[in-house]
Amino acid sequence: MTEKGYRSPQAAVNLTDLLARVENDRDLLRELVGIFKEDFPRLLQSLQESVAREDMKNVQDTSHALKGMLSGLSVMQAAATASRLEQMARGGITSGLTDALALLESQVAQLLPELDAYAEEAQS
Amino acid sequence: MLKTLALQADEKGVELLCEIAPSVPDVVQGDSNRLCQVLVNLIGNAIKFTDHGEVALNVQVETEDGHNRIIRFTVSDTGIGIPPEKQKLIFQPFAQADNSTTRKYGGTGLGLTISKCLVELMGGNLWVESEVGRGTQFHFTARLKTSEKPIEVGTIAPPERLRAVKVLIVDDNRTNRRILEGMLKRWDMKSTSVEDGEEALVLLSSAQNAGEPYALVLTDMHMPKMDGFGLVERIKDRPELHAPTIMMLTSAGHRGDAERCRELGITAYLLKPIRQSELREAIARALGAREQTGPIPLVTRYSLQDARDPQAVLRVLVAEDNPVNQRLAVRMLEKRGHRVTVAGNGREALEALEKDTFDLVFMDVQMPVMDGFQATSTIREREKSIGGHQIVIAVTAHAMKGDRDQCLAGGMDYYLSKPIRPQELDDVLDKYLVLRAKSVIAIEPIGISN
Repeated sequence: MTEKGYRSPQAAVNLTDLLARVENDRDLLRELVGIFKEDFPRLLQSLQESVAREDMKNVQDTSHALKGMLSGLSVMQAAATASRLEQMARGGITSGLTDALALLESQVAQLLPELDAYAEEAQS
Repeated sequence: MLKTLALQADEKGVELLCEIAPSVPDVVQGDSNRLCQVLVNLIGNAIKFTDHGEVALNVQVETEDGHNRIIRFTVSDTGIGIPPEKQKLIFQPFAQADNSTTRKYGGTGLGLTISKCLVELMGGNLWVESEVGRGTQFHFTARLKTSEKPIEVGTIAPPERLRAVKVLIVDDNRTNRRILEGMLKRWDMKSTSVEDGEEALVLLSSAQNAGEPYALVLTDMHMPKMDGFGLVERIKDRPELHAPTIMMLTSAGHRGDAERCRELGITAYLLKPIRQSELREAIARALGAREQTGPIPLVTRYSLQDARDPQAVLRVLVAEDNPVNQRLAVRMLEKRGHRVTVAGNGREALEALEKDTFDLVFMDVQMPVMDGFQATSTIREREKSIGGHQIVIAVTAHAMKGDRDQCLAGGMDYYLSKPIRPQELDDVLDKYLVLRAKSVIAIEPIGISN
């Protein structure tokens, strides 16, 4: 596997950290990316809808789930934003919620293709 | 800890070495978290600023007084070096040797400041010696206590199997050869070192002709001219060498390596930097394999763990709702040879505990349906009537100050922050095994993170 993606300035994933966590097990990396790809779009959509409705309980739950997944895959900046959303929801803070969501969306915009690239490299 | 850093070093093609003097006790008492933080910072920096050559950690006893030891750690590299006028500045907050350093290598310039504070908290000093273009040595000392009882985890190889065995070390890196020689000498093995495959073949042949063949070849994988696999192929092509047992050491595993090892009849394939206990166990197993008949499984770090004492195979319940982290935890535990059951929330965890017994429960704190605190509280309530004490390890994504205290106050025994890191997991598992081996019933809570 090359580290091309990690060296790119747009890279959202800290690949070094991720490979260390999976103990350089490329099969496990592929498996985790597969799980993430299944759950992530649904969770993000649920978060977007909850923010629009200001359903703070659901914002808290979905951003917590997203934070766990993102940090598990070493997507650290997006995980920090998800954590911020979770804390805002827990504190009932609605102002800035949309901005935080927009930031999260921008941080994960290229995430799936990036993870796909790592998973593909792991396979080759 | 070193295994993680080894990946970073390998990415840059830098050799990461570790040498611990025989006088350093196997087990010392101190703040392992602080010590790790300082070592990770210094070794991480050394890797960052070294493009060619090696980064080495050397550990030795500086002074001893009863149970107290001043241990000196030296992290040396063959990197860009630090000019004399900048050497004092680098310990100041936000200072780096050169502003362009930040642009090229990144970093906040806080790491060394924090490390210096941590070292001083451990009763030691941190200082630097460096020559531009030649490399840098960071030294620090720490006051540590020797443990009253030696602690041993896992199977210990019988020393008689290793004693007086003739070993040929093949490695192009001089420091690495010295480290391996040191380890083998400690086990009374007779080693000779060479720096390339050609030289190895000459020695193997002359030893065979003299009627004193080598029983074991310990070869590096990545070497210029002839790599480890190339050397093994050449040995196999010469039946008169009577095929000594061959163990391969590599900085990074690649897909297909294990298959190639099996094809070539290599007995063991291990990742560097290798732990002393791991190497001793692997050599004992590799030599033991000669006495077996039939197909012999490849000795790897995983098979070493699989071959552990059955008492060290733990039954573990992982209570975690997040599928990514659930899978990660399960695989990490399974790779260490443990048997894992999964529960998606606190209620499912309680149901699993009613049906089965577990050595350990990894309990995510925040889960739907029933969270980790409620589940642990129920476990403790049950224990009031049925007795016993289920070890519960809190796993929390909060990573906030006060989390640890809250978890321990909530009846949990240990604390890990998410996402779980291999070294932290190993620490907590080792601590549990050691405590269990000592038959300690009332376990004192030990925090692992933060």
